[in-house]
Parts: sequence; C-alpha cells; structure tokens
Amino acid sequence: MNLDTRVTVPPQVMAREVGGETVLLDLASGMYFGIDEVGTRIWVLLGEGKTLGEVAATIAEEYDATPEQINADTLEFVGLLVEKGLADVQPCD
Amino acid sequence: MIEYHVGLPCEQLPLAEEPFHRYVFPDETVWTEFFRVPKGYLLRFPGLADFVVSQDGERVQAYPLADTDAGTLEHLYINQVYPLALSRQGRPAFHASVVTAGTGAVAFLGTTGMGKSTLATAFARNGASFLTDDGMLIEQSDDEVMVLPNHPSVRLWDDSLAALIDGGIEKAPAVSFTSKSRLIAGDRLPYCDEPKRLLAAFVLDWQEVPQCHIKPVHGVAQVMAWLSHSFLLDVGDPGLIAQHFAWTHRVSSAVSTFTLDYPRDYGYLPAVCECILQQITELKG
Repeated sequence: MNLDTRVTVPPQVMAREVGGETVLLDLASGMYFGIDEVGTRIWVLLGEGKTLGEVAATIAEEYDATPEQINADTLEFVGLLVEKGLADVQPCD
Repeated sequence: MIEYHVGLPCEQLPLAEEPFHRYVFPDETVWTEFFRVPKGYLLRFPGLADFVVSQDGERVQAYPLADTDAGTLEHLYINQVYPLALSRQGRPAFHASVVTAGTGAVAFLGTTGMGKSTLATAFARNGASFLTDDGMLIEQSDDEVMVLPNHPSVRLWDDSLAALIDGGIEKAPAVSFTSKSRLIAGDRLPYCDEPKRLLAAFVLDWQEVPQCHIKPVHGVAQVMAWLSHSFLLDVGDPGLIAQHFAWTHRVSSAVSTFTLDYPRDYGYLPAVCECILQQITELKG
C-alpha cells in the first residue's frame, strides 16, 4: 500500500456519523469500531474514491501538521482499516 | 405486539445444538442461553424456564419448569424475553429505568447493579412517576423519541428497600431467582401509564466521586453507550445487527446523553435527583 493506493469499503461494513465522529460496524464479525474526527474526514475522502495521496493532501490543507507526518499517519490509519477488514485495497488500474 | 402463551411445565432437556450466545453473570453463573431452533429461537433460563420466540419475534411460548412460579415466569417474560423478541421485530429496547421529568422523561441506562431501580424509586418518592425499572421500550418519530410504559413494578435489593420505602407499598410475590423485592405501583410509588418524550439519558457510572457529577457524552462514545445497553436477540444475524445499529444510531443521535456519577449513599439521592433535574432545565434553556 502506498500513496497511489485507493481503497473501497466492503459491503459488510456500515458506517454512521455522530457528532463529527464515526462508528463502523463489521456485519461479518458483529464488531464495532470508533474513529475520531480526523479519521472520519479520511473515511469520507476515501469514500469519494481518492487515492491515499489525495486524501493526505486534503487533510494537509485542513489540519496543522507537516505533509510528511500526514502522509505517514494516513498510511498507518488506512493500513489499520485494511487489517481490520473495514477497507479493501483496490487493484491497480 | 407479541402473542404470548404459557405451555405446560416441562423439563429442560439437552438440545442437539450448542447455544450461539450466552448471558453469564460475573460469578460465571449462566443466566440465559440462546439457541436457534426450527421455529425461531429458544431462550433458556437454566432451572427456571424455556421460551420459544418465533423467527419474526411476534409469538412467544413459555415452558416453565414445574416448580417455577407464575410471578417468576411473568418477570422473565416482561424484563428479558419481551424486549429481546421486540428486537427481532426491529423495535428498540434498552436496559434502562425511566421516570417522568417536567413534560417528558429521563432514562437511566446501566447494567445490573448500577442503581437504575434505586434511582427510579428515589424519583418516584420525590414527586415523579416511573415508566419502567428496566426494559425501556421506545418509539421514534422524525424528531423525537417516545418511551412506552412497561410493567408497573420496581425491584429493589433489601438495602435500597429499607432506605427508600417506609411501608405502605404493596409487594408482589418474590421471584425465585433473586432476593430482590418487587413493589407494585400505587399512590406512594406513582407509575406513568402513558408514553413520554425522552428528554435525556444518563449512563450510570460508578466512579468514586464526592458529589454528583454529570458529563455530556458525544460522538462514538454516545452511540456505544446506547449500543452496549440495548437488547438484541440474534447477535449472529447480519440483517438484524444492521437494523439494530441503524436505529440505535438514530435514537442516540436524537437524545442528549450524559454519564452520571454520584456517591452511593442513600442520603445523597435527593441531591442526585435535584442535580439531574437541573441538567434537564439547562437543556431546555
């Protein structure tokens, strides 16, 4: 996975936003996951079909941190989503 | 509504399948076992009764053991089986007591032993009425959540009973699986028999605090607080889990939610009631 990667949300994952944060439900396991405000913003951008690099660039415009840090954090966060089965890496075009 | 019948007493014979879920008390006593059966679900309360719930949650048949009394069976049905069957119909139910407050109602979400019934009784002894002491049933319209009245009785441990009740309240026959007393609603323990709009919910916590402490809950914590206090019959049914998640999210988003800590001292309960009512007043403002 790198900054050119795109991910999709598997059909068994439901998301509901509340108060700027999001609860994710994996219907396959029945497990719930909570993501904070920044994670929610990344989740929404991923849902728009952006690459991880495009997501990180948007986050860099909205939050006060270095691009390098944001790239690293985005990769780590999306890596966790994939690991937990909450996102699937899209095959390269 | 649910069509409910009581069958003839029978033994709890072993079932071919393992239960798909269990409720187990902290001391490892099994309280409820959940089985899938051809007609729907079988909920087994070991040593007390089996209940068969239809797949659609619209019919329940009880099979008590020979020595399970009618009061115990009624209690199991009303407080455990009925909310679970409703969840099968896609209707929300939560582990909460509810009392009237102003023109609406407030709920106290909490696990067993956190003080739901004690707090509801304290309110009812200080000018409010209770809608339920557990098993909160709700209906939701576009912009409000309504609580429906449940059984007009309250269950209290002996220490709460001694501290809050000075006689003059009718007791129901004891149920066999707990030493809690069941008190029937009346003039001295008022009951509200009509739906009320839910103004706020308080999640009962048990931190050591010197005084009443109320803290708003937002975001993920708010949804999770409601999810963790909800009834859900089949945790292995993806369709039901999805529906359950969707409506719990709607309810939690529509109701102001707080955590509530207070000193577990009976003499302090009037101050807790006052503190909660003050919070409700601030919400309205």
